[in-house]
Parts: sequence; structure tokens; C-alpha cells
Amino acid sequence: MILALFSNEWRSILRDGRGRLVITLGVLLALVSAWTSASTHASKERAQAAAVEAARCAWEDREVDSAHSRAHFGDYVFRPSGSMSTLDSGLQAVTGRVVFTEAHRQNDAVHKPQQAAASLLRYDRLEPSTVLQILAALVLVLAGFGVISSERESGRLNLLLIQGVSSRQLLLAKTLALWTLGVALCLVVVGANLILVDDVDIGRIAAFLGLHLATLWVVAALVACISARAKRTGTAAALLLSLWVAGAIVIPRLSAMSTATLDPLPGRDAFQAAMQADRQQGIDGHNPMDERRNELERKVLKEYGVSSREELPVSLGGLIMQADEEYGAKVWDKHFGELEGHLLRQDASVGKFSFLNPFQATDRLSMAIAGTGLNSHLEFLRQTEYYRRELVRRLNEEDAFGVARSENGRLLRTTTKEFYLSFDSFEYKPLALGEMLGRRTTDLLALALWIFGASALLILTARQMEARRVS
Amino acid sequence: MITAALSLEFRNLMRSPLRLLTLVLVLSVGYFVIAQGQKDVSRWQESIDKGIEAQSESLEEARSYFAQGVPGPADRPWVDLRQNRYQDYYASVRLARDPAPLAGMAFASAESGAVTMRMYRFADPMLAQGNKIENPALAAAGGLDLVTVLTLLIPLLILALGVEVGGYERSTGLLPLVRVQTGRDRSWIWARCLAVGLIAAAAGLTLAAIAVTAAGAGLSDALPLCALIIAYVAVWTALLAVIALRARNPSHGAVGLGTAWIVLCVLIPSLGVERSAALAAGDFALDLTVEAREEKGLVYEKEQEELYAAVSERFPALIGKEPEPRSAGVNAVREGLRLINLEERMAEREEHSQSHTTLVKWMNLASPTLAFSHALEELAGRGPEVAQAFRQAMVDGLAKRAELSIAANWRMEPLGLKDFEDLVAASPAVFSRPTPDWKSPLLVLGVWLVALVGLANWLSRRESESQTKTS
Repeated sequence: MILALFSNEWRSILRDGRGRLVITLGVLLALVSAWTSASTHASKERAQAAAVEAARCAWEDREVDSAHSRAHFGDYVFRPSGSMSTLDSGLQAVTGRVVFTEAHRQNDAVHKPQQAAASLLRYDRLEPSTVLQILAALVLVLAGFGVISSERESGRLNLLLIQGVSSRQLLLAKTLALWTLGVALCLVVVGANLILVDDVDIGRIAAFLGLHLATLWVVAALVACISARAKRTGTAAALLLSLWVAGAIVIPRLSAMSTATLDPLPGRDAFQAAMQADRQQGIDGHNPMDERRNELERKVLKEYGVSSREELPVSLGGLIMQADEEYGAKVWDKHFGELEGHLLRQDASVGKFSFLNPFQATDRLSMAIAGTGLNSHLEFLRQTEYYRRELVRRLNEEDAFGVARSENGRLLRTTTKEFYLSFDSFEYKPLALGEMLGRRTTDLLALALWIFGASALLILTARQMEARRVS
Repeated sequence: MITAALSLEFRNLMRSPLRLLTLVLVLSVGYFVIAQGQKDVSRWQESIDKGIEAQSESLEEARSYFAQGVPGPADRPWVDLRQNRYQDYYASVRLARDPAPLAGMAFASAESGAVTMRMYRFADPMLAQGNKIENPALAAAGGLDLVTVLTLLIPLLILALGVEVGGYERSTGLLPLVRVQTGRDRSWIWARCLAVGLIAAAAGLTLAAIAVTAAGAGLSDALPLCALIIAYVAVWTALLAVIALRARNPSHGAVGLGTAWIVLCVLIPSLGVERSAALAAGDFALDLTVEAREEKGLVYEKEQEELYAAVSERFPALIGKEPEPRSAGVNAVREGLRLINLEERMAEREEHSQSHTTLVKWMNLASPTLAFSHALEELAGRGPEVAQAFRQAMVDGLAKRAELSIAANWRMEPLGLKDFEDLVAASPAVFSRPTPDWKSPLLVLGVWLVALVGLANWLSRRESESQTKTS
């Protein structure tokens, strides 16, 4: 019976001009988004590889200079977008793409080229995740707001119930018909992605698909329930469209703004001033008058059993610079750690809205699966900083120990080109899927509750319909 | 007729809790974001004040050394204010980008350029960051400020208030009655639409009045804001009329209005964002990073005559002031060449951002929502054009300083207080914002309005003709 009702519902959607239009538009958007996203991703990957290559050439082609000069010359890290960004680019439009790694300083990720079209960035990108999270839900709303109410208004509902169809069967069949419409859109998007993108991660794609299928089940169930409970088709349409607007547009913005208001981040000036103040408490590698520097000098002289710098078999400068770096790293860990905690706290506050809005739970989980969310961005910054520290540490060590005393006592550098060629370029290692999802338990729980709640609502609505019929 | 329609809409508003709630929500969210916007402006101003405070401290410190007749601080004996580079360091004037009077209304703008920049020889205006540390997870939500409220929520208010206009009259058979009583049924529908538009305009203008009062803005800002709001509401009112004249019943009207809102406020903007992502895909700022660093190095490899020729071409006022021997002034010339390179990079960037500017212009034509949000961001002084002009002002300021600095260096004498004060005086401290371009978007809104009114009239005339034929 359910199958008959299900196929009947599909036929009715396809017979209706509005249904055909909505489905055609949905499929078209799904295909266009998959295609444009894949093509943008391919250009980005090429440009990122070219940028990495250019930085590498600059590093390798440079003449053999002192290790400390090289530490100031530094290296550029260009953020990779990741293969899953074709499905969900997440926060990449609003985070910087380039980090300059150098001695003494931890620089921010800079350069957000889309800012040149800033007034557009108020809106979502037409990418597969937007199509599945926002537009597919809308397709279900537009195709399904009259799924039961119009049957009631036309009197067909009574006819069906008299013929022996139970309310539960009817509701389930209608929900399944709507859901399969969503499933079709998901398959179009994911299928197109598999065809258009070379580098695919099947595990993540399966998770992405599963997530969106689950969300669309929630949407389909809610659409069917509201349509069944509404007295008029117009009321169902108005209510469902209002809910869609609230969930897709208003609540995400409201949650972001209220979080930023209740728990504001420090200003850049204040943050940098605090870091600078702490930095000044430590050793200053470039100030020969610095007392802490002189103290370290005395310690090193004692360690080597000599009385002056000129007698040292190593370059004191390199040791001082490394001490300076280590202190700077502690300061960075303290301040960036606090900032990171603050960012994650804000993120967790926004995450609570997932219980109110399934679209937010889906959006956050989708970014986690794609590796383009906040945790991935922070992980990228963390790995970049570790890369910087390791780079500077090796250079400082070379500066300190890559020397030899000449016969007249002068310190000569023994650094070779091979030493510089032995450095590897930065390579970002994305967090594993399990780890990413492990950091999104609130959203997983919220989505599970939404699935359970929507399914329970289906049962309750069916009971209510049954009770109405009996009375 | 308009009075009757207006009183009907007011009664409808008072009787319907959902409509009243929508109006209250729009007004209260609007009020809340205005307050947040003002806080943001205060933080912006605070950031500038701190910069100026730091600048004053630096200037006073330098002046005190001149007054004491010492070259610099006792704990940093290598600092010598008679030298060019230390004068440059201490005379690092801040160029401030004061907030526009209505800056608060677009505080969630994605454009996060610097609000103050320190003017010194190593300054890089192209990579300078804004005063806010942003949580990308919140920024990606799209932001909620007065611009969002006016662009997205005011049309929704029109949708909520006018959802039944036309459709209700048709479905209940009231339309023939209206036709008999008034002679023209479409006048009644137009009158109802206008009444809805008036209520929405009143809501929008109330928010505008609060924003203007809170910001203490003058008429020159308030009038364009009001004109834009009225034009935008008029466009949506005309759209309401188009749909109301065709709606067979309230449900039909709801779907029509909902679809129009989604197409204009979600779908078309998302296409624009997708295109901007495609334009930005290949931009990893190599010109500002790796290539800029290479250029700095190349300055040291150029022949002396080549250096002098380039600097003379850029600063003709310096011709004839070259020192003898010329090699003595070569370091200052290198500074000049660095500035020339910076100017070239700036010009290239400007050209590069043209594609985004063109995109935004085209997208403004495609959706009144985009035209309106762009106009409001312009009025708020938050657009990328202002950020670009600020960067340009900074480069111009650096050029003036470079010219002065080279001339002072070529005199081959130790520098004094006068040189220092000249350097400070030559540094522009005030940035003049370019005049906001709100007229072109207003024109776009005007074109939309005329087109929609024309369409509505054509539709109603066609319907009248078909009714005449039927009768």
C-alpha cells in the first residue's frame, strides 16, 4: 500500500506544472553548483601549487646566506583548499590564504581576495552544500506544502481513508516521496562531484551524503507533518516558508551576532599590545644591552669554559636567537591559546543553536566533514606555527653551530647550499574524519534529536489524523 | 481608496498575531543591530585613538631627544635620530580612516580593511589588517546588521503583510463586488499593496531615523538613506502588486512572493558569490608576497645609474640635488625604488580588483537586493572602494615621505629637528573618504520600479481584456 501511495505521490508531483518546475530548477542548480564549484576548485588548486612552487624556487635559488638572514627571509605558506572544498568551501572565503613564516614573529593568515566583492559576501555561495542544505530544503517545501492539506481541501483525503488507507501509511508514503526527491538531488550533486573531481575521498563523501540525506529526512517529515496539521494549504505554505527563512537565513545570522555580542573577542590592537608586553619581558635577541641576553651569554661562556665570546667554538648569536624564539613561542602559545579558546567558546555557543535549527547542525557537520570549518582553520594555523618554529629552530642551530674558527680566531660560516635544500616545504595534514566529527558531538546530538523528533512527530501527526477521522 | 486600504491593512495587522509579531521582530532586531553598530563604531574610533596616542608618544620621545641634544635613548645607543631611518621610525605618523557617520549600519560587512596604518618605510598597506579579530565561524554566517535587516527583513515584512492581497479577493469572490462598487478592481489591489508598502516604509524609515539619531549623522547622510529605503520598499511593493494581480488564492500568492524573495535575495546573490569565488580562485597574492620579497632583493643588484634614473623619473623635484659622490646617496635611492615598486604593485592590484568591481556592478543590475545592500555599504563607508582608497592614500603619503627623506639624505649632513618636523608635516594624517556612490544603485532601483509597475499594469490590462471577452 505504501509503495502504491508513494508512486502515486511521485506521479502527482510530476504531473503538476509547479512540481516539474521546482524539480527541474533543483536539478539544474545542483548540476550548475557542482560544475562551477569543481572548476573553481581546479583553478584554485593549480594556483596554490604554482604559489608553493614559486616560494620553493625563491628559497632554493637564494644564494647561500647566513642562517639568521634566511630566517628573516622566511617562507610563505599557502593554504590548500582540500578536495572536499568542492562540496563545501566552508570558511575559506573569510579566512586569509597566505601566512608569512619568519623569525621572531608569528604572522596572521592574510589576503582574502573575495573582499574585493565584499557586498556579495553577505550571501551564501552557490555551491553543492548550499544547494543541499538550503535550496533542496526549499524544493521539498515548495513541492510538498500541499502534500496532505490539498488532499484534505479537495476531499481526496477522506476518499483515501475510506478506502482503507491508514493515516500512518499515508503520511509515511508522502514523506518518503518528498524525501526521495531530496535523495535524488543529493545523488545528482554527489554524482556530479565524483565525475568532475579527480581527487576524491570516498569516506568523507559518504559521510557528506549521509548527513544531507538525514537532514532532508527531517525536512521531508516536517513538511508532511505541517501540511497534515494545517487547516489550509495557504497556511501550510506560509508557515513552511517562514520556517525555511528563519532556519536558513535569520537564525544563523542572529546566533552569530548574539554570540559576538555576549562574548566579544578582543580588538586586534589590544591583543597585539598584550602580546607585545609579554614579549618584552623576555630576551631580546637584537638588543646587545638586554640584561637577559647578557645573562645567557655568561651562562654559555661558563658552559664552554671560556671567558669571552671570541673564544667560543659556536656563534653566540644563534643561541641567543633561539632563546628569543623559545620565549616568543611561549608568549604565542599563551596568547594564541587564549584566543583559540575564545574562538572555540564562541563556536560552541553558536553550536547550541543546532538544537533549535537543524540547518545549522548540518552546516557545521558538513564543514567538519569537508575539513573547511573552524577546527580545520585553527589546525592549519597551528601546523603553520609548528612549521615556522621548526624552520627557525634549525636555522638558529645552524647559525650557532654551523661555524668554525679560523686560524686568526675569526668565526667562519660553514653553511652550505645543501643545508638549505634539505628543508621541506610546508605540507598541511588535515585532521582525520573521526577526529573532526569527534569535535562536533553537540551538532551530532542535535541532528540525532532532530531526526528522532521529526520521526516522532510523524507518528503523532498520524495518530492525530486517525483520531480526527474517527471523531 | 488608499485610506480605506490603509485602515484595512492596519486592522489586519492588529488582528493577526503573526503579522504583528513579524513587525515587532523586524523593529526589535533592527534596534538591536543599530545599538551593536554603534558599539562597533566606538571600537573603531578607540582603535584610531590608540594609534594616535602611540604616535604622539613616539613624536614626543623624539622631540625630547632633540631638546636634550642626545641622538637617542640611552639604553639603545645605536639609535641615532640624525640618521634617516631612525627619523622615519620615530616620525611614524598614523593615517586614520575615520568611520563614516553611518558606519555602524554595515558593521557586519565582509570588508575588514585597516582603519589605521602606521606610516613608515616598511609599511605594506596591501597586507595591513583591520582592527577587529574576527571569528571566521561567525563571519561566514553572513552577518546581521542594519543593512541585512533592511535588505532581507523589510521585503519579508512586505511578504508577511501582503501575502493575501489579491489572492484573498479572488478566492472569496470579493473581486467582482469590488469591481461593481468601484468600477476598477485593480485599483483596490494597488491600494492594498500601497498600504502594505507604506507600513513597511514606515518601519524602514523608523529604523533609519533611529540609526541616524544614534550616529548623530547629518542630512547629507540621512536623506540618501531615506531615499534608498523608500525606493527599495517601492520596488518590493510593485513586486507585491505584480503577484497580487495574478494570485488565484492566498496560497498561490504566498508561493509567488516567497519564490520572488528567494530568487532576488538568495539565488541571484549566491550566483554572484560563486562567480566572485571563481574570480578569486587563482589569487594567492604572489605579487604581494614572494614577488615583492624578490623585488626587495633585486633593488640591491641594480646598477647605481639605473637606480638614480628610476628615482629621478618618479621624483623629478629631486633632479639636480644628487649628492657627490653619487654612491653616498645610493641607500636612500634604494628606498625610493622600493616605494616605486610598491606603487606598481598597488596599480596592478587596482587593475586586478576591476574584475570584482565589474561583477558587483552587473550583479547590482540583476537584483534590487544587491543594488540596495551595495548602496548602503557605500553610504556606510565600508565598501572595498573605500578600503582601496585608504591604501592608495597611504601609498601616496609614503611617497611624499620618501621624497623628503631622499632629499634630506642627499644633503649629506646629519639630520636635525627641522628634518624630523618636515617629515611629520609631510605625512598626511587625515584620509578623505571618496564620495559614496549611492546614486547608481538608486537609479537601478528606479529602473526596477518602473519595469515592475509597467509589468503590473500590463498584467492587469490583459486580465481586464480577458474578463471583458468572457463577459
